[in-house]
Amino acid sequence: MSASQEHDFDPRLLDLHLGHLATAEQAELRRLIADDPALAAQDEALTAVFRALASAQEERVPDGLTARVTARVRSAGPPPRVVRPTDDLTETVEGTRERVIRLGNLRDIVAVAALIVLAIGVGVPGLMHMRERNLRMGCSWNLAQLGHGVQQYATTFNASLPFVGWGGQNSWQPSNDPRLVTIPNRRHIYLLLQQAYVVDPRLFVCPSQGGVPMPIDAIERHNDFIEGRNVSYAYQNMAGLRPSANDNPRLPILADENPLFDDGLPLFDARRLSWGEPAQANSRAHGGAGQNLLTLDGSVIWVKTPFSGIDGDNIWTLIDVTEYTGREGPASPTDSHLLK
Amino acid sequence: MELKRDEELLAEHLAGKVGVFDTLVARYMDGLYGFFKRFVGNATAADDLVQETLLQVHLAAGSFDPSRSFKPWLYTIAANKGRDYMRARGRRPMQSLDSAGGDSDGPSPAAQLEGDATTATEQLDSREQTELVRRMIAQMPEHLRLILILGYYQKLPYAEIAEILGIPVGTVKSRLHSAVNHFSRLWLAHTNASTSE
Repeated sequence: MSASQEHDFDPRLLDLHLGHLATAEQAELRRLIADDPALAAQDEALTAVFRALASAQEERVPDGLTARVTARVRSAGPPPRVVRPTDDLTETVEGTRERVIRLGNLRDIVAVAALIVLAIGVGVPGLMHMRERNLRMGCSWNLAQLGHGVQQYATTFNASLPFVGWGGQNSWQPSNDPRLVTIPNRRHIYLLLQQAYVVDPRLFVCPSQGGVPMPIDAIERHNDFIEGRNVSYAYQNMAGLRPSANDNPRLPILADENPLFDDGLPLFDARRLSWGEPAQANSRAHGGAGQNLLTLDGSVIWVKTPFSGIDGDNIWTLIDVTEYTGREGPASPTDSHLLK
Repeated sequence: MELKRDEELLAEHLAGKVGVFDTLVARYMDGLYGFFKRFVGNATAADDLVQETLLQVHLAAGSFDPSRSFKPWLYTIAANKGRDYMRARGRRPMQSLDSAGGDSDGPSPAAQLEGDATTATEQLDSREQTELVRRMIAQMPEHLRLILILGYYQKLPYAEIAEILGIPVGTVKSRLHSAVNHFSRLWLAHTNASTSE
């Protein structure tokens, strides 16, 4: 549970007033309320809240609405019949479709052959450019949807961004130290999927990277993405000073993969990286040309340099940190450090 | 006489029996209208959406899986219609709330218990209070408003809400709790403000 939830109403009281407790549970809770003045005060306030909600219980149906519905349904005619797989018609339909598909295949082959000739002869570079542009747009769409999920999450949890918790014994980097418990940074963003703020796992995979979406039937059974390729995007490092939805709206919180780290492990020494060389400094997701970036206000922008944080902050590194052990986090509310 | 189940009525309607769809319409008219009125916050739009939903039920009756329950299917269609409507008009609520307390980051409900909510509540005329509650509900974020309506006003069980929204049952529970807490923040902020005036 996030810290922001701690002061909300006791969940047992909410269940009591919503009518979701069994008789025995109700009796037990009533006894606790009688013994605990704080709980009794919450119960009293909640009773007033539900009394208010109940006052808007009644909504009078406009006159004639039933007649209007009936008239529209009648004018629409009988409900259309749906052909089910067991119907006799199926064989005929499927047989026809098969023939159409065969014909379609021939057309496809001719069309593809013509396209290949055209592409080789005229515009391979142009097509590649168009393809990359489409992939970037797909990636940008993904980040916008994830941003929408983050905002919904923050609305629910008092402006807190997705966060599973963090303590002194945690590391976002795999470690051999038995005293450390690894919490990969991607686990925080997994909450969006686990709690259905984002329902499509494909949105976590950048179309340029060819990852594998998390299987839908596995989402509820896990607390993290099963493997690294289930998520392409780097999320704000939640080990240090955590941003809230009310912080600087231009703060980057999600972006394409960080080129310095692979599942939390450093790939390069940041000190030796040529930050002026785009192919080295930018995410590998789009061939080093740049990266899509989601900011706290939900905007997605395409940037060609990692120095795209607040006041030109490098989004791949922490300020004043040169060696990473997996326990470092941002020390300032404007320091972005995006990693998986 | 034992009432026929919704699924049986729909099957009879599909088979061409006259008048059974009217029974379904009568059975769900109040609930559907209340659902839309609270969700979109506008009576005219709610009227249209009820018609659209029941027409859709009629047109899609053949695709209904008779092994499943009718009610969650009906509310899945209704929720989609409502969300489409909100999306088309840019998700702006139809009713605004001028009073303070709309900020989710305000004091938590439990933290506001020191204020005497009951006194202020009693000062409100009951019609004013009803209108105020409606406006507060209209001001809530869409996903919280939707689950509050389904879970509290429509009294749907968690499992049916999970089916309608396509989310796990555990998420339904936690989100409904969040929705009540969110409304409480709005309500208690208002009543505390009224008390201090």
